[in-house]
This record gives sequence, structure tokens and C-alpha cells, in this order.
Amino acid sequence: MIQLTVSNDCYSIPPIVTFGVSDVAEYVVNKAQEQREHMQKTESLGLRAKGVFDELRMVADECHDSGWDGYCAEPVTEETTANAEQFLMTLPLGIAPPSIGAEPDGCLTFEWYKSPVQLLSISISEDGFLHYAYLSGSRKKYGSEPFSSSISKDIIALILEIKS
Amino acid sequence: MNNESPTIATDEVLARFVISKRWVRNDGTLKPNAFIPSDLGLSVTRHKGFCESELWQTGFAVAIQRGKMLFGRADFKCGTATRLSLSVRLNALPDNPNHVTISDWPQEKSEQKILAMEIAANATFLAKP
Repeated sequence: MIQLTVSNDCYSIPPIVTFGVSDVAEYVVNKAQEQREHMQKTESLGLRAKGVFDELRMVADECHDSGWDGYCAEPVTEETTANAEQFLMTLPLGIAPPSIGAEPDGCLTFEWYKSPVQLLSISISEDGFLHYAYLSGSRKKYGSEPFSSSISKDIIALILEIKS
Repeated sequence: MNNESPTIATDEVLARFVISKRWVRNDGTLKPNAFIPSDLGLSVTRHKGFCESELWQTGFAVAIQRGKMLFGRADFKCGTATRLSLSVRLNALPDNPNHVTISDWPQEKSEQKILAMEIAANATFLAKP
């Protein structure tokens, strides 16, 4: 069965989009995914080449245990890490790399930063939700949305605003 | 050490001890991750009544207690938190009579993040001596 992704309001290059159910369609989908993974490894386009995936794994390992902050922090689970990796894979190719962190509730965070009053922070949770906060001078935006295989245009626009 | 008043004035300085290098950016500014509360609130230490060395001593003790390394501290004014409708209360501990808890955070995670962001923007990082 081939996954159908509808991306009417999503900016990111969808990982898989097809209406086909044949072996040929499956072959095309797999090849497209391979190509995307390949582009992730390029210095010009890929977050993988820029070491972001390695940094993500490093943070996840550091925060793997309960109480990783020396206090009462929840562990960063494999599920959370997988969600975070999927999020990175779904970002548009060529986007500026975020810095990675973790929070006491076990979420992993991505930060795009220009100055202390111009930044975007996105947390991703075990249940696959994105929780974001954006500050640009006196302008603030914050909210939460589910994440599965695509990132909303709104969030992509916030990333591009910070790194423009 | 003189710590009389349980009421914390808005212009009093509070210190968040920095025990993760990932809380500080390369340009020396603080990330909002440093100010995300746990379920029990956000732990800080008031400066009042402490000299500089006593404050650092407390910071090192906090880090040791947590099994972490102290990288520095983030100073900000109490008013930064109260202006965001957070409560700032003295919550003295046996080994830290100046311990303060910042509480009454919103339940919604994204709202917590934006408040943490605002505190971070108004905090100053001082590296440990």
C-alpha cells in the first residue's frame, strides 16, 4: 500500500506523494526517498551533512535517562527522537540548520536564532506534537500543532523570517 | 548573610544557575531552554544578602547536588517574571536560604516557551569564576 500525502497547505517538499498502487509507483516512491536522503548529505542542501542529525542523536543520548538534568527531568524517548528526526527530514532542503536542545518534560527542541529578541523555538514531543514560540521584537506567536509527515506553511514561514 | 524579607522586590536580581552548556549560545546569550520550568516551577536564587562569593558557592553546591558541572549563572530581575504574571516566592531550602521558586506558569506548553523566551531575552549570562 502506498502512502497518500495531501499537502494543500504545506510548504515542505513532501517526502512521498503518489496516487499509484503498482510496483512501478512503489519503485518511484522509494527512489524519490533515496534521492531526498542523498540530498540531505550534501553540504549545500542537507542538514545531515551539516551535522544536525548527529547533534540530535548526541542530545537524545545525553538526555536518555530520567533525571538527566540532575533533578526530575523526563527522559527523551526513542519515539521522541524518531519524531524529531522525521521533522528534520521533512524540513525543506537548503533550510538553515537549527541548534538542538531538550526540555525537562522530555521534548527535544530546535532553535533558529538571529538575536535574543528574534528567534523561533520548536519542541517536539513523544506524541508527535510541535509546540512553537516565536519572538520578533514585540511580535509574538506561539501555538501547537500535530506533526505527521508535513510541516505547516506557517511554521516554515517563521523559520524563513528568522533566517532571512 | 542577611536574608530577612520573604517578599521579593521587582528590582531584586535573581540567578538561574547554568548547569548545561547547551543553555548558552556561542555569542554568550541564553537560550529559553534554561528557563523552562519543571512541574514544580523554576528554581532560582535571589542575590539579596549574598556576597558574590557566597552566590557562586551556592551555585557550585547546586551543581554538585545535581551531579552536573556549573557553567555560570543567568541574572535577571524579579520584575521580568512578575511582569509576565508569574509568581516569585521565597522557598528557602536547608542548603540555600535564598532559594526562590517561580511558579504559576501556564499549562499550555507553547505559552511556557514564550515566557521562557522573554525571560531569556532579559537575562545576562555570567561565566563561572
